[in-house]
This record gives sequence, structure tokens and C-alpha cells, in this order.
Amino acid sequence: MSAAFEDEHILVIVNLSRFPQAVELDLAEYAGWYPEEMFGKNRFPAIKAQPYVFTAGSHSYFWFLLHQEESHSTMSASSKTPELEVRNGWGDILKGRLLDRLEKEILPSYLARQRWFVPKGKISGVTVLDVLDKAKRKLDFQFLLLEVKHTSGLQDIYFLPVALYSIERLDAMMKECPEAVIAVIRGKTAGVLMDGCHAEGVRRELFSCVLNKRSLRALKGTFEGSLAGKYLSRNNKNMLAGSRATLVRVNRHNTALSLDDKHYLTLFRMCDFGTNPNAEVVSFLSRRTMFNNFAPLVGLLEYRSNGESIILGMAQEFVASTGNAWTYTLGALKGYFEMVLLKKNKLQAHIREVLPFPLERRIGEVPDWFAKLIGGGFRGAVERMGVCTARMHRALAEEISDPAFMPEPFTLLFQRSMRQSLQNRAKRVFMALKRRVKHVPPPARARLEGVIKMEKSVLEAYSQVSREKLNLYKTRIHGDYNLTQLLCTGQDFTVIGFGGRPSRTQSERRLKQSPIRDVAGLIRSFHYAAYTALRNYAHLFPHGAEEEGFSPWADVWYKLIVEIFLKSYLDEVESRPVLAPRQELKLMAKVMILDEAMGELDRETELNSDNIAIPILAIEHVINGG
Amino acid sequence: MNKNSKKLITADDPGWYKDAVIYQLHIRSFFDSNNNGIGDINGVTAKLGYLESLGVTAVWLLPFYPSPLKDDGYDIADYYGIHPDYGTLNDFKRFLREAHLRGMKVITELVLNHTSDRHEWFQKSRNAPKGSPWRDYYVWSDTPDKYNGVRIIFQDFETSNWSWDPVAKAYFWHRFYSHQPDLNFDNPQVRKEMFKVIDYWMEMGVDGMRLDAVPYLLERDGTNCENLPETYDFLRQLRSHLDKKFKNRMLLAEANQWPEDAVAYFGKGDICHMAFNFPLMPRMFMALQMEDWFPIVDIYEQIPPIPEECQWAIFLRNHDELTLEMVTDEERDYMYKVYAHDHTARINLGIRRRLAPLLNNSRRRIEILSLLLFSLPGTPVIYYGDEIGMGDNYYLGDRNGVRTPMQWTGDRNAGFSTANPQKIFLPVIIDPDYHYHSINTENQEKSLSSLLWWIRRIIAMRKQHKAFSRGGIKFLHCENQAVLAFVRRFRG
Repeated sequence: MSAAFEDEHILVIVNLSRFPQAVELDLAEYAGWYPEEMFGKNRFPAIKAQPYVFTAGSHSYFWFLLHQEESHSTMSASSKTPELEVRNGWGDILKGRLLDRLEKEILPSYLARQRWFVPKGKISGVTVLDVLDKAKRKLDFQFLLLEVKHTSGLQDIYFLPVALYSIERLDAMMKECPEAVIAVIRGKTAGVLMDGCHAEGVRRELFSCVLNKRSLRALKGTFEGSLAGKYLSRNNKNMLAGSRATLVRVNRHNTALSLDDKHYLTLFRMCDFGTNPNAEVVSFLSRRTMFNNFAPLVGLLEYRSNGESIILGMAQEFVASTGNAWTYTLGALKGYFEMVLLKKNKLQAHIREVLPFPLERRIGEVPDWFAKLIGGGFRGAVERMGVCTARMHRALAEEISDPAFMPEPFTLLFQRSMRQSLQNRAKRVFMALKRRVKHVPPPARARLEGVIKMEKSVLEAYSQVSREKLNLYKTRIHGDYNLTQLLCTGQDFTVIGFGGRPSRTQSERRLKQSPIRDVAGLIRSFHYAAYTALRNYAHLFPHGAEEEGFSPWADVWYKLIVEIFLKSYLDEVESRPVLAPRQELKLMAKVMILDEAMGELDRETELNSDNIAIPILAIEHVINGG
Repeated sequence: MNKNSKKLITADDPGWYKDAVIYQLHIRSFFDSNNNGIGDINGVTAKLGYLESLGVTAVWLLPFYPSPLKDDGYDIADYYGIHPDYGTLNDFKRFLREAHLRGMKVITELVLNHTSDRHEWFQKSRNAPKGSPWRDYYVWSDTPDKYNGVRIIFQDFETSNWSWDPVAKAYFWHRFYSHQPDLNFDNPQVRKEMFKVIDYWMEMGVDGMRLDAVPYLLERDGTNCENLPETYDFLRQLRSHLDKKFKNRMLLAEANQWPEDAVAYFGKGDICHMAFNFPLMPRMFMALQMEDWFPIVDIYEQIPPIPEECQWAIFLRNHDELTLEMVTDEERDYMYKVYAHDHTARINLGIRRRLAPLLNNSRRRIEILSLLLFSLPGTPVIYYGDEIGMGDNYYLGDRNGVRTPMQWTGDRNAGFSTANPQKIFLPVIIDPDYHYHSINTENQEKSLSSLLWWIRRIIAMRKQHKAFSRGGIKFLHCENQAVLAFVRRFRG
């Protein structure tokens, strides 16, 4: 009550009538302001000096918070770090009015700024579900289990370990990792409240929880660590001694920690009750011996309450690598472009051959001139990617008893439903494209308009999926397969990021699909790599960054690399009826590539990025068969 | 969060009542913990979690003192005790503790104007000789010709404000039921007694008191015996006494008066902290029915400004009838026609129906009035049961139709009690439209689209913005009479 509050102006409109009404409101004194509807946090048209025309449905009512144009809604990042004043220990922030502030102001604005936060509309509320029980011990860290409600109506659970660092470190932290600072605590106990992943002590605590199978009591449940398979019988007590727990990376959907070079802990951040698909697949693969290209499961960090559990993190064996396949491929592309520059004149004839998309014809041998351009090393690597992918699919598809993993044949009903999903997604994207096209700068705009005209063809392409029964199976797949999910381990690759796109719900990610979806994901990734390299290495090309002269070369690279990959993949799955697609490959691959490209186009136009051309090319390829 | 982690030191804030959300309940009707068919204090304590989850920050309890219960407890026989039906003093102290632990304030009643005729004071008074100290505790007269022309409040039950007492062989004055004789506030001893009463409860930890029927404390010939300057003076003394001895308490005046008279109960900020905004209440219903903003805006424009530290208490319904005393005759006629076509629904000068039945169980209209309750200036008071849209039973006598047991589940007695259904103090609502099988808190908890959840959300949103509880108001006089629009403004 004594804290300084900002001015507030709230406009209330109530239609007392059972009939819809139109009204003109004299809001001249608020000219230049805009109303924000308080429950949905949606912005309404700006207020001008002239009367504000408003229409209201039967017996409808509105609460609007009026904002001045310069100021954003209270959720936007403010440069000022919030301060909390405590009377006793810092545990006070979890009680009463301070908890209120934490939940209503501080956490929503903090979460919205984090890389691992998945926005689903605006945050309408944050509730602290549970914390460690500090009754017996004095803790300088806490585990916060948060429930985040979005204006879209969806709810997510987030895990946020926090630590209290001494106040002297504030300046250093604001320079090094300002995004980790949640608030400053003043009063009897002073310090910086920060994301625990940035604190060595908390990282060790998290590893210790898993490796030593500890159970930490919370107020309503427990935070528990458990070990998997062969680690159960090992004595891990000394594992932490002398080891350093480091923060490896804050990823888009999780945070990765490592304990020296032995263990890796992925904190899922956004989590949920029920089976976490990433942990489920890694655990499944760990119990089988045929596929080794992944980091074996060491243990899990869970929250348990009322018989239910949420998987907060997964510990795996550390796999040493020299980087991921995306970086490796970009490097290979650089070499390729340099070779092209050297030998350009001799190869002109080849570029004029209009190479059909690999799926349009039988996969044959790769021409010699191309093999020389890319070099044996990279070719071998692409072939190994094919083998690795095939083996992964085999491991996921050869289950005979666990219903969560057993392959299921396509049925006409499933195909019809799949067609519906594909068409729904495409229609929504086209709607968005029509809205956004006017914001796209001219060179790309014309091509985008061309794609928009292809809507009917796209939907027609999807409809082929349900015409006849396809002799395919749906299995558990990777779900988010692309070059960044393959780590280069010298002679081979390790697959990471199992369990589908983390922004989707857990249950959705456990749905079975055709493995061709993963294949399509990798194909798209190659495409992106080719064009990203073209832009990144534009300085190599003497006549300015005119990609026009060289994009056919990127195109050639893409098509032939995909041929190499597919041949290697298909050879490896040949003998497995569940996986070998035969005639259906072309249809399914085209459809999946189209679907992925539509999603990419949606994202790229939303961000108005330079990559718009890439999915446009892909869509043109598929539709025009070019 | 469990209790331990939310051990809130009840806000040390003298203005707490401005930001409060008050929940009005009758112990008798809320929850029966010992299964004798009557709600009790331990029952209310058991349901504090429910109130907390609703977002309520203050609980107002109707009178729970020893009483013959001929006026539902407002006829008090002992100001210091607890009615045995409801529990013991320890039960009440425990309730206070538990409420405070949850950050909730407790508001009780101080019925100054009258006592039950069973009160020890009245027994002494009627037996005492004329002119003696005890005799002067009440207002006696040899003839009923004094204070002529003063209106009768309970018109359907009484024909005069004087009643003959054969023991005292004199008439005694009562503005309410004849079994509720008015105390004589001209007597300094009576004033001392009431100061002692308020001290007792405040020391125990009660945070606020509703002063029942304050306009009628004193009488003077040639006046209408309401809102007399002497009455304000006494209240000023009461407030000053309270301020000297206690911190962060609140006095809430129940004065059903036209705006200019109601404001007087705030004094210059030296009498009551809060007062009910009676004039606004029927006008909200009128505006909705007439589909016209005029009644609401008009009454607000008639309300004079109030002292900075004071706050109106606004409400839609309460335990009494929807009173139509402070409206014009034409307006009263309109309200009757529209809201109480069935004459059985009318009582005294009002309509004895709950919120949902008044609005024909229309969810949309209930939302509109509730939204107004939470966005117009003043501290909102929710009447128990209205948050789930409870129905009423106006075939029960007096105003009992709106005081039936709270409906918690679809089980026996709506989950209010496990006693024999014939034993509970009032029957539960079985009107087909409002049957407790479907209208109960358990059902509504399960469905996010229920009225209960809607109210929770509104309250939660309201609490996030100071403009609602402390801001000023500016009405936009829309040309379209059907749309009510206003701006709440708070200067930080």
C-alpha cells in the first residue's frame, strides 16, 4: 500500500441493453492513447480527438486499461530491475504481498524475456505451485514450480531454480548475464535473486539430486532424482567431488548443464504432468542395443505430488563432439562454393541441366563432377547421416509389446485425418500470408504473391494423401529432426533433441507419424543450409553479393546432397517392411516437405526475415515439380 | 500455498477497508459442523479456504449473540456472549485467528439502536420505577402521542412505533419490531455501556463493526427522528473513543437514506469510515431493466463528495429485502411491476428476492450487475450464495427466503449439514430452476465457465488495479442511453 503506484486510467463500458448497440464516446482528453482490454490484453484502436465509435453486443461489458502510446503494456521489458524489501529472510518473497508482486509483476515480465519461454498469447497470470520446504534447513537457493496462464487459455508449468547471490555481484552480473537477474532483494537479507542455472552451487545441487538419488521435500510434493539402468548399481557418490558443473547453453526450449565431461543435464524448463517424450524416447532407446548414436540415459529429475510426476530434467552421458552437423555442413558448403568459383567456367554446361527434384525420378548415381566438388569426406558424412537416420527409425519401429512404441499401419481413416490436419495448417498459413504480404519488401513480395496463388494446388496436393490406402506405417519418430540435432563425433553422428518440438504439448509429441516426416525435416535443413551459406559467404563472390549468379549452384548442391542422403537411407531400411516406403515415398515426402515449408513460410513472414525465399523455393519445387 | 507459508502479518494499514472485498454471511446459514441442523462458527472456520480462494479479504458476520431469534439475531439479549447454537467464545477466537492468518479481516455487528425485550437491561428497566437509572435505559412514555408522524419501518408487521408494556405500565419506543425496544442514547450510562461492548470485541481482535440502524439512535419531538444532529454527535464520540484505544479498525454505518443524509455519517472523516450506498443499489437494477444509464449516473451526481479517508460500501443484495424506500413512488411502482410481479415477493417496502431470481437467472445480466459492483466506486460487498447464483424461497416467512443454507454440494441438505433434512433451520432451495443439485459450489468449482469462476476472475483482476478501489470516477454521458461508460482514474 505504501509502494508508489503508477497512474491508472480504466475505461468501463457496459451495454445495459439486450440488443447490440453502437455508441460514440467522447474521449478527447485521451487522444493519442489506446485501450487495452484487460482480460485478453488485446489492443483496441487508438483514441483520437473525434468521438470514439464503439459497438457492443447484447449485454456485453468491457474493462479497458488506457495506455499512452509511448508506454508499452506493463509486461514489456523495463530496464529497471525490480526490488523487493524483506523483513526477515529472503524466504519472505514467497509469502503475502511480496509473493503477490512476484506472481503478478516480476515473474511474468522475467519469463517473457527468457529464451526458453514459449509464448502462447500474453501471460495472464503466474502462480507459484510449489517450492522447497525450508523449514529444516537454511537454503540459499530454491526450486520454484510455476504455473503460467496465457490469455489464449492455455496453461503451462515451468521449473525455475533460483539462487541468491551477494549484492556485490550485481554489477558484474548485469554486464555478463543480465537476463539471469530476476530481482534485487533489500532489507534484512540483501542479495540478487537470479536464475539458479547461472550459479555453480545450484548446478551442483541439481546434478547431486540425480546422481545421488536424493529426495528434496517441497511443501506439497517432492523433488526427486532417480537413476536409470546400469547407473542404478553404480556407486556415484564420488562423482561430484572435484567436478565442475557448468552452464553449457541456454537453448530455445531448455537449459543444458554439464558435469565436467561426464554428464549432461537437460533442464526442460517448460514441463508437464505425464510422460515427457524426450525422456521417454531416450529411456526406450537406452534399453535397446541396436542403436548407439545417442547419449544414453543416466537419470531423471522429477517433481512428484499426489501420485503424479513431472519430469523436470534428464541426465545423460556426455558425448564429446566437434559441433553439430549444421555448422559442419555450412563449412562444407563454403568449400563447395570455393570450388565452384574455381571451376565455374568448366561446369557451366552442367548447371544448365534442369535437374528434377530427386523424388521425381529414380535415385541413381551421383555425377562425378559433383562428387569431386563436394569431396569424399563430406559425401561420406552425408551417407552416414542416412545410415544413422535409418538405424534410428529401425530402433524406434521394432517394438512388439509396448503400445506406446508399436508401429501401426496407415488406415484410410487416419489418412483422411492427416489430410485434414495438413489442409488446416495450410489454410491458416495462407490466411496469415495474405495479411502480411503488404509488409514484405518488393523483391520477395512478388514471389510471395505467386505462392499465395498456389493455395488451391497445395490443398490439392494434400488431398492425394487420402485417395487410396497407402502401404505405410506410423511409428514414434524423432519429431524435430534437422541438422542441428546431429552432433559430429568424429567418425559418426550422435542424435539429440528427441521427443518432438518442445513448443508442442507432451501428448501431441507422443503421437505416431510416418518416419518420412523426419526425412523431410532433414531435407529442409539441407535446403536452409545451402541458402544460408550462400548469404553467409556472399563475400566470396567477386561481383558483389549477387546470389543470382550462384543460387543455381546452391540448388544443384541441395538436390544432389538429398539424393545421396536418400539413397543411403533407403538402402539401410530396405529390408524392413515397416519402414521401406517404395512407391509411397514420393507422395509422402512431397507432402511432408510441403507441410514443413508452409510452417517455415509462416515463421519467416511473421519475423519478416530474409529467409522468406527459402521456403518459397521449396513450395515452388514441389508444386511445379521443378 | 499452505497456511504456514502464507503467514501474513495482517496488513498494518489503516485504509485496508478501501481495498477490501467483503463477503457477507450469516453463521446460521453457512456451514453446520456439528450436525444439529444449524450453521455454526466452526463451520465458517472450516470454509475459510473457500472464501480465500474466492479472493475475499474481509468477512462480515451477521449477529451471533445470545438472542430469542425473533429478528434473526438482531434482537440481542446479551452483547458479550455467543449464541449457544453457533458455538462458544473459544470457537469465535479461533475463527478470528484463522481468518487473520489468511489475511482476512473480520467485521461484526454492533446493534446500537435496540435490544431484545429479553435483554437483562430491559427486564430491569421495565421493573424499575419511573425516573430511576435503569428505567432511563430505554425510551418510555405515558402516552403514544410523542414523536408523531415518524414512519414505521416494518410496515407489514407493526402499526405503531409505540407499544404498551403492562409491567412498566407505560409505552416504550421501538423503530423496529415490538420485541426490540429502542435504547435511550440520551442516557450517558447507555453510552458508556456501548463503549464497553465495542471495547470488548475490539480487544479480542475484531477489525470492524457494522453499526446497525444508526439513523434512529436519538429522538426529538417535531422531527422525523432520523439523522438528528445529536445522533451524529454520539457517533463522533464513539469514533473518537475507538481511535484512542485501537489501531486500523473500521466503523460501517447502515443508514438507508437519501444521498445528502447518508454522507453525513462520514462527518468530516471523524465519524464512520464507511457507509452503505443504499441509494445506488435499486438504481442499478432500474438501469438494467430500463436499459438506460440515467438512474446510475443521476444518483452519483447527487452524492456529495466524501472525506478522503472514507469509502462507500456498495452491494447488490443483502440479508434484507431489496429496499425501495429511497426511491420515488413512481420508481417503486416500476420496480414492483418489473421485479416483483408476484405480490408474495414484496415485503415492507421492498422485494425479498435474491440476485439471480431478480434477474430471471440470466447469466449475462448477473454478470453485468456484478461487473458494476466491482467497478463502481466503493468497496464491494458480496452476499453469500450470490457468487454461485443461489435461488430463493419467498414463501418462507419474513425475509427468510434469502437466508437459506449455503449450497456446497448436491448431497443431502446441499452439503450444508448431515442432519435430518427436517431438522435444518430453514429448508434448502429446491426450486427447479435453482435446485441445489445443480447450483452448488462443488459443481461450479469443476467448470471454468461457471459463475463462481467468473466472479473469482473479476475479483482477481480488480485487485490488481488501484483505480477500482481508490480511483475517482468520471461518467461519459453517452448519447446512446443504453450504454453506460465511465473512467476510473487513480493518481499514483
